[in-house]
Amino acid sequence: MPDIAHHNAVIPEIDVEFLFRRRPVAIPADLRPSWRVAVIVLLLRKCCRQNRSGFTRLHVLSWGVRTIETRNALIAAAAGDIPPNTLLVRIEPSLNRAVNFALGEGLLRRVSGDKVELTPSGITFADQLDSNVVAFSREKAFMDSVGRRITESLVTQMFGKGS
Amino acid sequence: MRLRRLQLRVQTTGGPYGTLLNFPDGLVVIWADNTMGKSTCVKAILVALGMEAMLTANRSDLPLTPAITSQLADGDRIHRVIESEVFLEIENRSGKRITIQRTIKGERDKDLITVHDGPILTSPRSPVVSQDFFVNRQGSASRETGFHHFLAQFLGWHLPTVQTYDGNSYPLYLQCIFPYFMVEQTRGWSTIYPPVPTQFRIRDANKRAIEFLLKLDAHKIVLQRQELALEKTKLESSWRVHVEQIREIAISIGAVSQHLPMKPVAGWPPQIIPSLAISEINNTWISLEQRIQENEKSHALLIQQEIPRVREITATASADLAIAERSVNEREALLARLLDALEQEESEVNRVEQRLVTLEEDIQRNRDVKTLRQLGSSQTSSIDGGHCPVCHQTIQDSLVPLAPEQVVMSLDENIQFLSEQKKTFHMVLSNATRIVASRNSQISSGREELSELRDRVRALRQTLVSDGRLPSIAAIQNRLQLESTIKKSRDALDRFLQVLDGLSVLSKKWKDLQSELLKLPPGDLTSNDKDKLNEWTRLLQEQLAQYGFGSLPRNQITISTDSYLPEHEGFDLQTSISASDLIRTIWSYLSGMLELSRNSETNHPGILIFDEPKQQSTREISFGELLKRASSAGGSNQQVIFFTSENRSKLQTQLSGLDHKFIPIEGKLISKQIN
Repeated sequence: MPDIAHHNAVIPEIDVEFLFRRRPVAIPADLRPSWRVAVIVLLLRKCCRQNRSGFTRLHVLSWGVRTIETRNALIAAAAGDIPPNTLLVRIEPSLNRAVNFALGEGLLRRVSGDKVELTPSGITFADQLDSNVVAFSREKAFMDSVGRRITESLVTQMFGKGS
Repeated sequence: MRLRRLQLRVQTTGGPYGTLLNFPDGLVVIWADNTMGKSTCVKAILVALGMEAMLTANRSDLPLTPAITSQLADGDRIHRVIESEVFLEIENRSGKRITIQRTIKGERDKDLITVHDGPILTSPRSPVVSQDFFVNRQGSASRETGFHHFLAQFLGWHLPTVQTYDGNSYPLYLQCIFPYFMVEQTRGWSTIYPPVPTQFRIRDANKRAIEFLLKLDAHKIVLQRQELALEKTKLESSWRVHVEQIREIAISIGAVSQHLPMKPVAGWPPQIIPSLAISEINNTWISLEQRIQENEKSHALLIQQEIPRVREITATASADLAIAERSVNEREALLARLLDALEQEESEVNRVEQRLVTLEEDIQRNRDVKTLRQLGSSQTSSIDGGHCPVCHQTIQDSLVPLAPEQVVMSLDENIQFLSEQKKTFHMVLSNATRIVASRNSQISSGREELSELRDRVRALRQTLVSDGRLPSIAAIQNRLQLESTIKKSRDALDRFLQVLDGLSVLSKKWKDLQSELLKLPPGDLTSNDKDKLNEWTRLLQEQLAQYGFGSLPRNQITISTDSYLPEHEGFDLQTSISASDLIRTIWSYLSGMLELSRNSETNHPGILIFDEPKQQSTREISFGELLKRASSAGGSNQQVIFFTSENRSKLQTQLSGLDHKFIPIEGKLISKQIN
């Protein structure tokens, strides 16, 4: 077995052999590919016009979904309660990997350079998830309250350009 | 219970028809050819007793043959039935007779049963009082005007209360008891357990009926167990209330309770007696009693001294003032430290709470991933399968790069892992909350002390600036304050002791409850019950031998102490025996109950009615033996009624020499009446 390392080092006080074994690590569920792919698909379906979005906006939305604080912040920004350029959006490489997986699975396709769009099977998947009452309830509630108000121009403002 | 006379009256378009049957004591054999209306009579008896639920779950129509509900054939002519009714005269244990009247077809409500308080069928001239009762309605077993309530009283039965599947409790319905001594032919010969109606949704109806009929203590013990369980919950919640009271008392004087058992205990007082502890100036805890004693000592000292004049004490007063001011400063510093600690501890609580929220969310997300996989969605199938959808190489179930050969927990492991964490954090949280609570009480006691000290400083200052001839304000104030503190502490202590007394009462009850629980026999049967079941088993085995039961060794067939069904080495008989042996088993089982009631104390009414007991499937020898066995009923003041259509001459040969009444019916049982 590759994950088992034998150490015959003997401690004189307790004369036993030690065996080190690599244990599986726990990872947060939002770093699981299937979770993130599902959320991306839902975001495109529920928060983007024409089921289409640029990468930057996808990063903003995906950052917003993850914790209570970011959810509240993004909802406030969408409602115009706080200036968009006060948000500190984290850009995560994991999102790009998840998008790549979704592209590979045929749920998304690239359009006009840096934009991605849901394919018909992506739309079916999104609707299937949307109609499931148990799964992703918090995330879906957030998406419903944000709606399609996080526009590309709002995203540009968030990063300090424009206005 | 004895049946005495049955009368059916049918008014038809072709004149009055009807029948009349008498039932003497002992073995009564009513013979009629097939299709001559024998079963109609049996059904009419059941209907008269309001037992139609034994025949059908349908409530709209009475389950009787067309001959008395719609049209009656007499030879070639067919008459329409205009009106029909049934009369049944019955007698109870003490010899009292009543007559039951029920309309089968007619204008009167079918759910109404009239009871005439006398034998109007056998001695028509006696004047009687009549009263109407209802059946098939809510309360027909429990209300005064319900027929089954009346019938149970007439039979001298106190019906046990039983649980239904929907959690209600009702008296055990008579419809569940009667199948044990009235076997009707269409449903009665197919199972060993008599066909007890299931539409009442009574839990373990068969067991409850047998326990009642044989007067077993088992049901009482089951009930007792339930009651004790209820009592237990009551005691536990009362205990919690007491503990809560003590907590409030402690808060009111800035103390904490110590060594208080949170859950009921049987031994009282406990090894370490519960007490209230109060925080001292130097941050140690002493018991409330000690504090009161100390306060009283200083109070007594004060009383001994006469209240000094200002001028006499100027020197001491200024020294006292210095001391008091110093302790005010000390107190303030301490309080500030305590407040700091509290702030830290509270923020710890907040942090843990936040952590719990995050954990909860992560668990939910893991569950969502699980749901995704269970959805069987083909869309993400290759990622879920651990393969890249493009190049089909193995990929890790993670979006962040991991060390080589590092494996990710499976979803279930991850959920398990998070749940364990959640459990730990809950424990941390409850600990942190407790610390905060006790810190709060320490602070409030510190604040109180501080305000007392400030009062003293003020009083001392006032003393020093007032007229030298006046009594010292500080001394008076000191004394008053001490008195009020002592009073307050005493009050709290009194209330605390009172609650402790309450706990000691509860503890005694708890102890009694535990010993009551221990007294209950294991497995619910008392030795008396076991004797009855053993005797029943003996009677069963004896009869099985007599009737020629051959499917299994007879002496291995016993009555189960759990289901009260006959069983063979722990297995149900029903499926493992032949059809004719099933009939023999039912005979032995039910007539065993009747015979058991001859020598044991039971609620069995001492009557047994078999409709067509032979069912064409048992050999002559067995039926002859059944008749022989049943003929012993006469000598035991019981009544056994058989309705049969056996070959008449054979039947008469079998009956010869037996104590019995033979009632042959020639032709149709329901015949034209000449009035």
